[in-house]
Amino acid sequence: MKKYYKNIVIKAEEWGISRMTQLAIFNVVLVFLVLMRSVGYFQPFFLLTVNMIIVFQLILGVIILKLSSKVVFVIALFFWVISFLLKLSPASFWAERSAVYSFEALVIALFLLIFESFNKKLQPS
Amino acid sequence: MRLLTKRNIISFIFTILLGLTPILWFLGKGKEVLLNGVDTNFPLDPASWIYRRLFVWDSVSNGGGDFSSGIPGLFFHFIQFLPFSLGFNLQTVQIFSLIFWFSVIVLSAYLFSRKVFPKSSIIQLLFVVFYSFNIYLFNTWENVKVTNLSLIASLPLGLAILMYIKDKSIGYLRFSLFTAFLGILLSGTGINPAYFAVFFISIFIFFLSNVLSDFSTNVAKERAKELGLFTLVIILVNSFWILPLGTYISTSISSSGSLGQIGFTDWVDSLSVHTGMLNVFRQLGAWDWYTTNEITGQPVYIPYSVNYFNNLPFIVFSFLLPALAILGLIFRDKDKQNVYLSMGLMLALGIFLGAGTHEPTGQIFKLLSNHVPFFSLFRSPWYIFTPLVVISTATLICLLFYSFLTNYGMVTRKRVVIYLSIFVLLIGNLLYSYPLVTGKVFRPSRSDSFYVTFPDYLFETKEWLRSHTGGRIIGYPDDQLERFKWGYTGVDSILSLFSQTEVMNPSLNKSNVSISKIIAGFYERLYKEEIKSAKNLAFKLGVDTLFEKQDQFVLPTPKNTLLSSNSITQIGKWRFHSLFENIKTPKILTSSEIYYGYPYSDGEELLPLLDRHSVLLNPEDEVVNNIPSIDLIKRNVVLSTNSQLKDLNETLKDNLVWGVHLKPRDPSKVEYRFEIPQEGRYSPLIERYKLEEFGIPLAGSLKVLLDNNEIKWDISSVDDSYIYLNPQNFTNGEHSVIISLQSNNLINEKNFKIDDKDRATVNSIEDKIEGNYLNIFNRTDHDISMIFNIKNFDTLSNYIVQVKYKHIFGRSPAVLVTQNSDIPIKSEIWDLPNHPEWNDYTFYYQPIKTPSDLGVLLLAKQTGEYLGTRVLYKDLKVSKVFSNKMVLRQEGSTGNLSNPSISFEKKSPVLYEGKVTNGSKPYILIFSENYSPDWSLEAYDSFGKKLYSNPLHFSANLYANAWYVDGMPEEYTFKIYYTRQNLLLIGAVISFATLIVIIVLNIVNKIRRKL
Repeated sequence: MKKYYKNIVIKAEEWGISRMTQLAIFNVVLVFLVLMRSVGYFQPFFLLTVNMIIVFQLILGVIILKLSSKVVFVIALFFWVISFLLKLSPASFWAERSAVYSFEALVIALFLLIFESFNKKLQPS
Repeated sequence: MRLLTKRNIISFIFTILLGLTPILWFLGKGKEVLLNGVDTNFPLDPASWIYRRLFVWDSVSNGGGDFSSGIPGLFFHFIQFLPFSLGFNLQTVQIFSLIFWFSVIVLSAYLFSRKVFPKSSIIQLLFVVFYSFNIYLFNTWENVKVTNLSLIASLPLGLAILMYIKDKSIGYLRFSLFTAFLGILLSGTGINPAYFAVFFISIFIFFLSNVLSDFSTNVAKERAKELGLFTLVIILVNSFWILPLGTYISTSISSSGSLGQIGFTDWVDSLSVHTGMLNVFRQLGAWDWYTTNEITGQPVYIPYSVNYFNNLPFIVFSFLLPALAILGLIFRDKDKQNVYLSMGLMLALGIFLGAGTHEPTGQIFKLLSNHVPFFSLFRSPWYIFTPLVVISTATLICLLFYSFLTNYGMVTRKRVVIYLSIFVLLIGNLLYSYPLVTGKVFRPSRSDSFYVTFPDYLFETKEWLRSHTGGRIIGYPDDQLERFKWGYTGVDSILSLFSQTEVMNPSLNKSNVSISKIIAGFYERLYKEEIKSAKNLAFKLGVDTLFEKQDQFVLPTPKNTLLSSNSITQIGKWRFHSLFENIKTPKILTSSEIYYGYPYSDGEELLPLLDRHSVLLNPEDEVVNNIPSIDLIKRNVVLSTNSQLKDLNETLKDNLVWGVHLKPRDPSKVEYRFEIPQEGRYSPLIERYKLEEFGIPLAGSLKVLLDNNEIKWDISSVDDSYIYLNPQNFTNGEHSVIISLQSNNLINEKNFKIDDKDRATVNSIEDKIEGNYLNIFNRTDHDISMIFNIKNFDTLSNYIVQVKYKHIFGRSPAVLVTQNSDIPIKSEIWDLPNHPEWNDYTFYYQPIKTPSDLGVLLLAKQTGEYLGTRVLYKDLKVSKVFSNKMVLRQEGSTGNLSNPSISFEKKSPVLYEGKVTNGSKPYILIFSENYSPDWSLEAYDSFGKKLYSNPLHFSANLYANAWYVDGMPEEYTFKIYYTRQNLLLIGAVISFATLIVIIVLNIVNKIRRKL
């Protein structure tokens, strides 16, 4: 178990170092979007919802962090687990929201999977 | 491709055993128990049910209707008919049918799993268990839904067949053969074509995934060829229902907003209330799981649903399955990219569409409903699309474990863990699906259980009906749902479960169509003892027998003489009353008197006064106006608008708007308004019901204000339905007739009751009239009231309640109306708007039609504070609404239409043959089946030569077919035929030919190979 954990940490470090700039952009955009939401930017013409921020960040992650379909499926699973925990908690009504994020991640991951399948086939062997 | 190999023998045997699950549902239930009721329509005479499905018109219920959507059920009912024809009892027939479908589902799943998980029997079994035992199937089995079973049985089989052809395990001939058999299984989805569409959606996703995951032009062409052949064979095999149903949908139903027209209510919004992503992913989206009793909090329909909502192991398992499915997409096996992609897409699409109009994706669903033609046919999104979630979840979970076994199964320790996990999941899923395994989905030991033992007299009635050769039978009482004390609840007449007898019943789904309005009118007149009108309506409906069910669970109905004065056949607790003596109510008849009805949309109020020689036609029907000299041979009947009834209907429509209640009404007069279309002499007729209570005389003359001129109308005669006034001359145009009424206040203001406990409370009620008003002061911890009882309460009349009130302080005033017998029947509370000055408030009360008492309570509500509530009331008046209709019937002679004698025979629901004698003069032929332009009339001379075609065909008596027949010889024969039946015949030939050709080609191929 320890070995697996160490391995993951090392890989994560390597991955993080190689995408330092992209990670910074990703986080800055995230913070910026959350701030804009908190002060009610674009309202009432356009509602910047948390749902929208999540979808935007997922797509941004795919574009700049080159997230693979597997990673996005993991994100879908993560949201699903959160949904389960919320369901058990007194705030069970939030479980639905987390399930929606899970579904959104699932859909994005599936698009990626299609793209990967198609791309793999077109690449010269 | 062999079904049974040494390697798979255990999983195969387990699969077969799983198919026998329905036996468990009947263990310890008795030999005569059947699963039946509400949507579960198990025929008590499978032979008559399969006979009905040979025709595209069903004449059994409410004047008949296009039955194209019933044809796809042919195979499903054939499976019931087969053991029935061999003499097995009904329970055996049902068990056979259930085992057949359960076995088909598990075998179909097994074949699919053999292809996707070829190396592991345990995974194959796991897939079968996940696919065949899940929450989605609870509802499917509970109602034994043909469409769902058909789709669930066909889906994995279809995918498996495509996989077999893809990897060349089978050739094109065998591929066609398997596809043809699949087509037969799939035919049941045609009952709701949305399910048929879902099958092809999933097949297309699979095709797309195959192409994308292995993209090249040749591969795409190859897959397209397979898909093309697959689709072609299925469509050809199903032509017998696709042709008539497709034509019906495309010609009779508009592409958008079409649900009402095929008899369903557009309930997509209400079905989508609980279909959030969270529930759909866990397959917990059925609406009936969430209906709870407001007081007890217990589920109303699904007793076991509380386990799934509150029990931790159930909640954990419901989350675990989707989690494992997502994990399946993470740990992917490279060789099965196409399966991952197709199942992933099916999962996402199934969740998205299954959520229906539930947010956040609901807007897209609505957009699709509004802009994609016929998309609104997906009226129950969760039920229609969840099979995609079921198959994808089951496949992805099994792929996960298959991948684990393939990659880590070499290490013994890991293999043990994997097998143990699979075993836990297998058992866990069967426990999780316990209502399906044990038969609890059928709600045993509850009052709404589907386990029913039918009484013997039902089967005696079946025999009696065989000899009943008269007209139609109408049910009594008029409840839309038939709830019998011995447990069965049905939407349609119980008679249609076991006989071909034509029946009329109140319609739950189609209450707005003309024939339903006529049926409702019949019951209303029956209750009001307007027997002559009721019989006129019965004659127009072709009804000659009243079917009284004394074993139905209903509120008592108002007494009427018809039920005790006619000849009766008693069978057990059922009584059949003959409505007419020496008069037949033929379905095909002629009419010599034509009436134009104004307004025709309210024609059900005009029909009761037309006797059996008269027919009511639509003056705006262009075909009718093409009848030669129609102006000379027709007369008019005009319905007037009753001012009190109009106000009642308008107020009820805007009942929640305070404004409509704030003006006082004058019940001491009624104004009838009507428009005379053609100058002439008209006899006014006023509905007879309890006229004397309003001071209207039944003999002598009636004083009226006609167009502001006071005149007297002499009463010529009276019967149980109308008073007939002497004919009067009327000019064209609008007229008004005002009649003064004796409007009695039905309460005694000084005669009220107070609850004893309130009387004892100091300062609670000042029970005296202070200057003609009532002062109620409430400082208690409960609402207190004055109760006024209504004298001579008549449940067949509507009531108007008027009161003046002044709100001093505390909570707002309120009036409560309660209708009680031994049990509370109905109560309505009216919160009056705060008003510190005297204010008028008026509202209407429509009673439930059962013998009972009515009380009006003037309330002072509790506040919970020391200050309390003080309200003043005065001038409480409760009076009957004068609802009697007035009709004006034009007098004068009609033209020269004849009444030839007609004899006929019903050859089938779509064909009637008959003979006309003395038919040389023009006449109107009426055919009392619901109107459809596809009914045709053809006449033949004595040599069988066709005499003419296309006589004027139009609608009559609001619902029936009628033809204007002219230029015929004295004697001839005729045929009335529903022409859409030809499409069924053509389709059946195509289907049959396709099957024969495919089977013959396969046999020839096999013989050739052997040679």
